[in-house]
Amino acid sequence: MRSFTKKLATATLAAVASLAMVGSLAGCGSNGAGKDDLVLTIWGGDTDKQTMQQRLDLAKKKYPSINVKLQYIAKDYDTKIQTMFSGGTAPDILEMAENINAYSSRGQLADLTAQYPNAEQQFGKANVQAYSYKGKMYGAPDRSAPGVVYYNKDIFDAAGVQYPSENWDWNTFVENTQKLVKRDGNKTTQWAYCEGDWWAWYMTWIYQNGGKIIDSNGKPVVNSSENVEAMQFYQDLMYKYQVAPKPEQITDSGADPLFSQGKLAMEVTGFWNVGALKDVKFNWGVAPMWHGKKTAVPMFSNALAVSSQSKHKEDAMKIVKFLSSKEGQKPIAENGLDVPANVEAAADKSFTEASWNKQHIDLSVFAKSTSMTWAPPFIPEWNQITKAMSDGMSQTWNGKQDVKTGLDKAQKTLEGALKK
Amino acid sequence: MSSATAVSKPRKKRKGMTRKTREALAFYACVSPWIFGFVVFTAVPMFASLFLSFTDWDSFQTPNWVGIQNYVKAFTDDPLFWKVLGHTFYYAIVSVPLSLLIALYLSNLLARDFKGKRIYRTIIYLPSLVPLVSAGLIFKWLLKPEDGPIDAVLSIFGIHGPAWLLDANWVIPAIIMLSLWQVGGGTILLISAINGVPKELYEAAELDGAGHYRTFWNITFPMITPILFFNLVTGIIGAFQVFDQVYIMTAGGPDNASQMMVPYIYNSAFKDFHMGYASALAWILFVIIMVISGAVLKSSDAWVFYESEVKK
Repeated sequence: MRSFTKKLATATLAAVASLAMVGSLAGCGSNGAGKDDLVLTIWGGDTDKQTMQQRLDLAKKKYPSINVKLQYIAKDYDTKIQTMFSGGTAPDILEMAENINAYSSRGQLADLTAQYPNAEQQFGKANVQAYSYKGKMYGAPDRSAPGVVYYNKDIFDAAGVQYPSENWDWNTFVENTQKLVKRDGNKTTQWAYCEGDWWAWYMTWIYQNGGKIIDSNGKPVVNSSENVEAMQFYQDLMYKYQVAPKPEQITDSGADPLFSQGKLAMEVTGFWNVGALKDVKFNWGVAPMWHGKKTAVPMFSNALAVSSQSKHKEDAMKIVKFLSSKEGQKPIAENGLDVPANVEAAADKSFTEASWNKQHIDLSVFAKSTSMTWAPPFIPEWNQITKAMSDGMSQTWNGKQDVKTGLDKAQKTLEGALKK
Repeated sequence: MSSATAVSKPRKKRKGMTRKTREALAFYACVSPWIFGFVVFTAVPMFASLFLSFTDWDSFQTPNWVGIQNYVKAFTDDPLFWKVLGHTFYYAIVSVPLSLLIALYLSNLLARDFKGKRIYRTIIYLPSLVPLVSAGLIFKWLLKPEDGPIDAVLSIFGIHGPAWLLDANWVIPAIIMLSLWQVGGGTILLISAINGVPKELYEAAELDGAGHYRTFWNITFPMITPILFFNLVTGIIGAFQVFDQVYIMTAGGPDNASQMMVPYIYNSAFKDFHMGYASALAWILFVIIMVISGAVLKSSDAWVFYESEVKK
């Protein structure tokens, strides 16, 4: 009967194994945090992780009784967060950006308005607007860097062009770009300017021209004459003046790599580029962006939100409030991670005279540009906006369709997506 | 355990369980992890998604029952649905037969006995070991317009290559090219099938003076139909569920010219927060795959040859 015992043993093992599986499944929802710990989720890289941990350590000093566990999500942040919310295991505090109102409009986030009586002074108007829905603030702006012009000083000097400034208008811009391009036969070896299919870029042209994507009644106004004019201007940079690469000429790289290779005179991008350009061989600087009919600068930001599922909302709000205070924002500046969203922290010496700024770039440009930013319409259907624009305009940017047709397409798609 | 040991012992009537029951129990105990996994990770989610496909669930709030509205919307009121379905069919109809033919051709070359056959087989199989994501990125580079390797080769012959992934007419052929790159898996299966064909059949054919093609069509081909059939069915199922290539190489662009069903479902669920609608799309796709696989299975009687059936 030994064989039977053997079988029984196997069977038991199998049963235990499947039970263990059940056990581990049950453990899934707890994030490995203790029962009363708060969970905070972020995305990003190593520096993001370290900085947030430092800030949480500061918070711990202030509120010793509150434990916050940092959960770093390396990939597919949006998908994972959505799944956590669906499964009833949402984090207590979460980093959010463009998607915020897909959540707030569905009652998934706690209202933070009462916590920040002086929000506009604390974060600036555009930031508060971006993270509010129907007059209530659902995200505490955490980091917010305006886009600035990064320019290659060597290229500008060689071409004898004055460095960019906020005094440039579109005409100055076009004139100067033509002096900054270098061609070798029919191949361009040095570009004047470069961007791609990203909302922060194309929408900025639109806003600088007095256009909008969504009007004040929440209706799409994508194909207005201002927008057509703005997008025509951008298309001309590629096809008429040929100072910016067409999509097919930069399929393998975007503006940032092109700039760091020294093949681009200027680009508009976020604060992260400062770190990326640490070791380049050429001289570069930053300047506030040019203007069109209006001044408009893109804003790259994110915020901290508290989920309405949280069992410790009070504590979570305390932590968020601390993290967006001057003290809680300091590590962001000290590590050179980003520009603190807290206006005071951004103006503080810890940022403007940061020790990591070895190239002595003029960091005040960021503070100066903050007042020029436009607030993106982070409506609940934000993803549909960017998709409709990319779909409608991709063939326009590829030079296979005129501007009006592309914008009409995007308008039609959006009208369909926004009709309730 | 061997049954011999059981037989050699004098049979005692045991109370309760007969041997059969014991064996059945042991069987169920052993497969229980799989059954558990199937129920929890496949069956329950499937029925959940079937239920959700009749609701307007946004993945957060309580779902509201909307009846067949999602299905009606897909067939009548979604400007992209038919387009995306068309692309998916186009991709499947071209890539599956093409992969099969290439695998058949290659396996016939490689099944022979020649020097260095192992090295060649390895080389053919290597691309299948590369994760699709990396392969997609490599192809993106290969397909670069103007100065990418593929267009560079074309320009030697005076052909001005298209802007592949940016060109609505060329983007799906480009994705099909990537799928052909993965042909090694099927090839290896077919090689072993060809090597499994009894030698005496070939000897008999040689004696009868059958030529090369005759031998192939009358012996090799019928003998390997089960494997071809297997490749065809898995190929169809895989092709209709194409995701990685599209997601990595084009994200469905330009202007949805390369959008396929599964990435489209993913978009509806995780970008638009239309979980109910995405579930309905998933079930539509399920039914399509089921009908086509069913038709192929039905057809198998006509052309798939199983030796065991003849021997009966």
